[in-house]
Amino acid sequence: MIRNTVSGLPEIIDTEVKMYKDERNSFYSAYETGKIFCSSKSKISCAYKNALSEYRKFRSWQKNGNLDVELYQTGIAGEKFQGFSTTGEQDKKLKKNSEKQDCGLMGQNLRIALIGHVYNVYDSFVNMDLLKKLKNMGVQVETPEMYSRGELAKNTRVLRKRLFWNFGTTAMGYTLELLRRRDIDGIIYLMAFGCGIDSFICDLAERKIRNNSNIPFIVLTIDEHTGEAGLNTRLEAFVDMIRYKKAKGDGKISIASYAGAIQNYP
Amino acid sequence: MKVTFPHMGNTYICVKALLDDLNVDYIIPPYNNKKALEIGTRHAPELACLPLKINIGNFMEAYEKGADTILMAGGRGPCRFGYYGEMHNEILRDLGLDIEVINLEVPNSGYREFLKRVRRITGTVNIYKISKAILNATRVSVEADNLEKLCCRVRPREIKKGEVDRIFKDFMNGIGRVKGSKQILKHIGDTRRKLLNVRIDEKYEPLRVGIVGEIFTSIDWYANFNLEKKLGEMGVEADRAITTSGFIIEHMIKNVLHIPKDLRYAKAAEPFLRTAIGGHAQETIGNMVLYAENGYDGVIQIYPLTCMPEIVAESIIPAVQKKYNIPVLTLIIDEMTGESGYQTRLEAFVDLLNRRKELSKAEKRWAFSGN
Repeated sequence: MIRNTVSGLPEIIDTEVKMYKDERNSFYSAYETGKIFCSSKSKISCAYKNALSEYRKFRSWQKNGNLDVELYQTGIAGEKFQGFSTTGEQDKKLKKNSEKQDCGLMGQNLRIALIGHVYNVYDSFVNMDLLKKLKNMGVQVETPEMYSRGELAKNTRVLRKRLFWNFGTTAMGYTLELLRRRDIDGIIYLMAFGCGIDSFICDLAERKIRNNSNIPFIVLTIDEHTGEAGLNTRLEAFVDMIRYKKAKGDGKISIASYAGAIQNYP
Repeated sequence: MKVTFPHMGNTYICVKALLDDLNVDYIIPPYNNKKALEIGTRHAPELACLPLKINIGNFMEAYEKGADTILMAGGRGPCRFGYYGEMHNEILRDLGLDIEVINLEVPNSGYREFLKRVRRITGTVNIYKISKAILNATRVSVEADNLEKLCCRVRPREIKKGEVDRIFKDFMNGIGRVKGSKQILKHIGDTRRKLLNVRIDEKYEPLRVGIVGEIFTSIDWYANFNLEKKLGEMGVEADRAITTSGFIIEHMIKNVLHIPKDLRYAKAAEPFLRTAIGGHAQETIGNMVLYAENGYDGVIQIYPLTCMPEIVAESIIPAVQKKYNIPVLTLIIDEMTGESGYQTRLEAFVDLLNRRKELSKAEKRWAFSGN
């Protein structure tokens, strides 16, 4: 697409990645790309291995519930990154966090799952700092990347027809996992306007969630016209609604005091 | 069991032939219409493509008439169409309709499951009987497509305007009265003779325009607002690259029997789009190049809003236009498309093609008709 629309470009490296036939093909594409820069096969495979191990490191870092990609980058640069905590430590950390933040109603820690394409979820420009905004509202965000792809793919076996999209498998598997766990307070689906896969998966996920649970669910559609204020309003309303629902369920407060609490919102 | 299936242009003729030959009870939904689209739009996901919405409308209208089983084709992506059957199933079930979707494709669990599905519909797995029916249905489909092609050729040249449309309407109405592939073929043959007897202006040299794009919108005459008819009325000879019979032969039969496909389009598309990216993107580019090479005056690309493969194709079109110096009009259809705006754009495009043709003929005499 780029080659044919923009003129006067330097050379474009567009190696085809044929992962759907064989997982090992990723090396061949890496090799094809590498050949442009250097001729030594051992050097390329060494670089490929480094990249792979770095990727695995990053994935396990993600699986531990870390979302801030920038933090990872600075961690690497400053050598501050201290290996990977085990799941047990992770739980402890989460608990500690929730204890710290569980001061009164507003500090009540919510767990919200965020489903969407990785380049929408993790790019703070595209999603207008969604992750940070949720964090500031006292929400703990979870994403499908905290599970391995295999685990999620296993969940989708219950579907009538296997999904042929990688992202679809991940998102549906994650949705089914959330429905199984039932400890999540809300689900946000971040959809890119006009994305074909999103339009189907989002609908399927919504139907699954609405039919099988009463977990609050919201779809946020983003495109180049999306206004930040509108996104904020929807997000705040969604989070407030969940808090209200939870508080009402706990029988802690009356509606009036809750309305007062909202006004003190940071 | 009463089977129904979605509409796509003349596809119902060949499906009718197939089901007639196999003695299956079926209901043809009303032709695609505004109500079907409205029903579909109400229940389908907002950003889904137009065919899904119209299909749902078809099914609900057929359900009202008593259908209880839906026949759908399938696929394995990356085009969304592969998951249509499942979407239909989910949507109709959530609406509380007692209707089942049967995907006619080889599922992940293998051929056994496929044969089970075939047996459920036809009540037999007699290979001879089924393959004979499929063969006949394919012949019907080829003939029906040829008939439409003939219509496109005769329409711009007819002396008494509207004669072709009248014959074609009679043909469509007559389909309901005939049964089985033999009678349908005879009916098509009769119509063909009638069309060949239409008085035409033999000296008239019409503009030639190729139609490429997504299969549903280019084939279905409701979805594309009778594009071929509109062009014909403007005195333009339209040729459509994608046909029902082409799809059945190339993508279904040749796939199953592992016969080499007709890949002229892929070769033509090679400099612009090297791999098949799903849907009909490669066909769109390839056929556009073939049209340009065959001296067509212009090409119209048509696709439903948010169709992923065609968006990629559209972005490549400027390169094709530049290389082959051929004008291309892109039409995007969704449930909000208004017919008049569409007509205006078509007329403007045809005017432009006319001027271009005159310019090349007149060379340096700068006087155009209409000036």
